[in-house]
Amino acid sequence: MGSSDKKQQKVQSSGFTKEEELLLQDFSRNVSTKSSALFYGNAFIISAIPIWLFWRVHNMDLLSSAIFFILMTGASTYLMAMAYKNIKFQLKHKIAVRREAAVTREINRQMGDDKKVTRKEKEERILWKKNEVADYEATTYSIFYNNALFLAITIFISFFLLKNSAPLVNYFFSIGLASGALALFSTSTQSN
Amino acid sequence: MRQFVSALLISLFVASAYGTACTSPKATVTSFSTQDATILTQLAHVGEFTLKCGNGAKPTLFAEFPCGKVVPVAQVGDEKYQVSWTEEIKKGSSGNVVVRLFDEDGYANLRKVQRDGGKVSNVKSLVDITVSTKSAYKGPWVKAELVAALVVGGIAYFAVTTKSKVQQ
Repeated sequence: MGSSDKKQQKVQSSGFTKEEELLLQDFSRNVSTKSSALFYGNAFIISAIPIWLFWRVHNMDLLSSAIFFILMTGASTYLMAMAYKNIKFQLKHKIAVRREAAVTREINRQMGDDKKVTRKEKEERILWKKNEVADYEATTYSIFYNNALFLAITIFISFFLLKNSAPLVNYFFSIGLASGALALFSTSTQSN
Repeated sequence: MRQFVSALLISLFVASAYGTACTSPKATVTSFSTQDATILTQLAHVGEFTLKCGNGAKPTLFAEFPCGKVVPVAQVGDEKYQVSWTEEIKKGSSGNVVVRLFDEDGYANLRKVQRDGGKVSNVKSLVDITVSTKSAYKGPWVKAELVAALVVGGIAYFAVTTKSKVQQ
């Protein structure tokens, strides 16, 4: 609550209009609490799934290795959430641009007959809607993209690269490398 | 007189030995093969058969396998016999294996032919039995992890190409 109050003040003190705020949101790296929770929840689930693999397939003892499982799952959750956030940021604006025409058309159709709505309001509405659509799409796509790559890297390392190493070493490297690589690559900037 | 008695005794023994010769033998075979070879190094095949002779004789048997090896046959019960052999998993094959059975006379002939370097297949066997062997389960054709890796790899490929398409 306190942080949102602070944000509100900042918004007011920054002197931007509502439209400018909406425009800025398009490029913002901030994520809402809701999508942050979604990111961390997903990151936790995807990081915990390999425990099953190492417990049942690689025959690691669940209790005696619990501390390693918890440590690695925690680290991986953090790294995956970071990757989700970064990839979402990379995609959000691109998606917003792609969806702009469709969103404008839809809002115009919805409000076309309404004479009470001013042009400015309509534009604001379009911006807001576009932002929402892009946010949603970027969030879900970022989760899908990172999960797919995480599982692919984990399976490749644990079953092919480190096939003959000890399960614990295998676990450390496959989870660590998969989430680490995704977090690292998510920070790269598009060159074009 | 003494010579006569000993000759009689010898002829008696010989007669008793030859008296067990099996006439019109009939064999019924049941066979068993190793079914799961995932954790084994060799496959075993067992052929168990009942041999009934027309004259009720219970001869000692020797078996000759297609590879040319001759081994004694184990008698596991009244008129019941068993032949068994193992083979490498890689060479393991399924199908019918014809095992030629010899009694002691036949075995003696066989050894003689082997010594002389003749053709063993020319020696007449007492009876031939066919042991049907089955191939064992040697594990799945495609390993589960390979399937998993391919599926996830495909999805990851789709994810990467879509991302680069969106970012163009």
